[in-house]
Amino acid sequence: MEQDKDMTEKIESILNSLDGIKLVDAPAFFYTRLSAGMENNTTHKQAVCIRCISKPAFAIAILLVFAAANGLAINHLIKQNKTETSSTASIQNFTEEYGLSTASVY
Amino acid sequence: MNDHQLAQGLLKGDEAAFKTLVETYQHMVFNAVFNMVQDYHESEDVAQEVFIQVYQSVQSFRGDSKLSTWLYRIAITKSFEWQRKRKAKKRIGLVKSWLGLDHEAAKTKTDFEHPGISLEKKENAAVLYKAIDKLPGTQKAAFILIKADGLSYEETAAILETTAAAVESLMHRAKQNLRKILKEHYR
Repeated sequence: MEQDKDMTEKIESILNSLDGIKLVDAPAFFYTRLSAGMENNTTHKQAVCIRCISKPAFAIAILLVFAAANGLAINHLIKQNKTETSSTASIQNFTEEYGLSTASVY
Repeated sequence: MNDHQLAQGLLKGDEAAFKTLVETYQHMVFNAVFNMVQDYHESEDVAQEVFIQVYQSVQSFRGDSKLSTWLYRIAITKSFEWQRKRKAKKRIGLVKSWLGLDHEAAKTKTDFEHPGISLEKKENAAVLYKAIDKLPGTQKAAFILIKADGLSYEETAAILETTAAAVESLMHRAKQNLRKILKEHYR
C-alpha cells in the first residue's frame, strides 16, 4: 500500500517535471544557415537534374520513346490508309451494282 | 510588421519579409521541434525544413488562422515526418547490425536532457521525455504543445485542427498512457 502511494507520487512528480520549463534559443546564425541551406538545395537540385539528363541511359530512353512514338504514328497512318481504300472500294461496288455510277446515267 | 503584412510580403517573394518571419518565429519553431524531436542538431535541420516549407507553400496560407498557428502546424507535421524517417532508419540499422554490416546502428539513443529544465527536475524530465516518445502521434503533440510549449487548449486545438474538448480528451488519454508507461518503467 505504502509502496503504491510512493509510486503514484513519483509518477505524478515525473508528469509535472516540465512545469516551469524555459524556452531554448534557436542556434546562433539560424537565418544565415537557413538561407545558405536553401541556396545549396536549389543548386543541388539543378546539379542532380543536369546529372540525370547527361546520363547515356537517359538519352537512350528518350530515343526509344521517340522511336516508339514514330512507330505508333506510322502504324496509325497505315491503318487509316487501309480503311480509306476499303471504304472507297465498297462505295464503288455499290454504285456499280445498282447502276448509280455517273457513266451509266449518261 | 504584423502577420498580414508578413504574409503579403511572403506572397510577393519579398526576402526582407521572409527574414523578418524567420527572426520573429525561429525560437518558437525551434522549441516546438526540439521538444518533439529531442535532439538539438536534428531539431535545427527540422526547423530549417519548416521555414523552407513556409517559403515554398505560402500561397496555401489562407489567413483565417494566426501565422504562429500555421507555423506550429508545419513544425508538428515536419517533426512527425522526421520521426517516421528515424524509425525507418532504425529498422534498416537493426537489420544491418543483425547481418553484421553496421555495428553503430545497434547503439541505443541516449537520454534527452532539455537545457531549459531546472537541475532538480532534470532526471524526472529525462524519464518523462522517454515516455512521451512512446505516445501515439496526436497525444504526443497535444501533451508537448500544452506542457512544454505552454500553449492553451484553444491554441492547441487550432494547431491540431480540432476542438478544445477533443484536446482535453487527448490530454487525459496522454496522461493515462504516460502513467502506464512510467509504471512499467519502474516495475
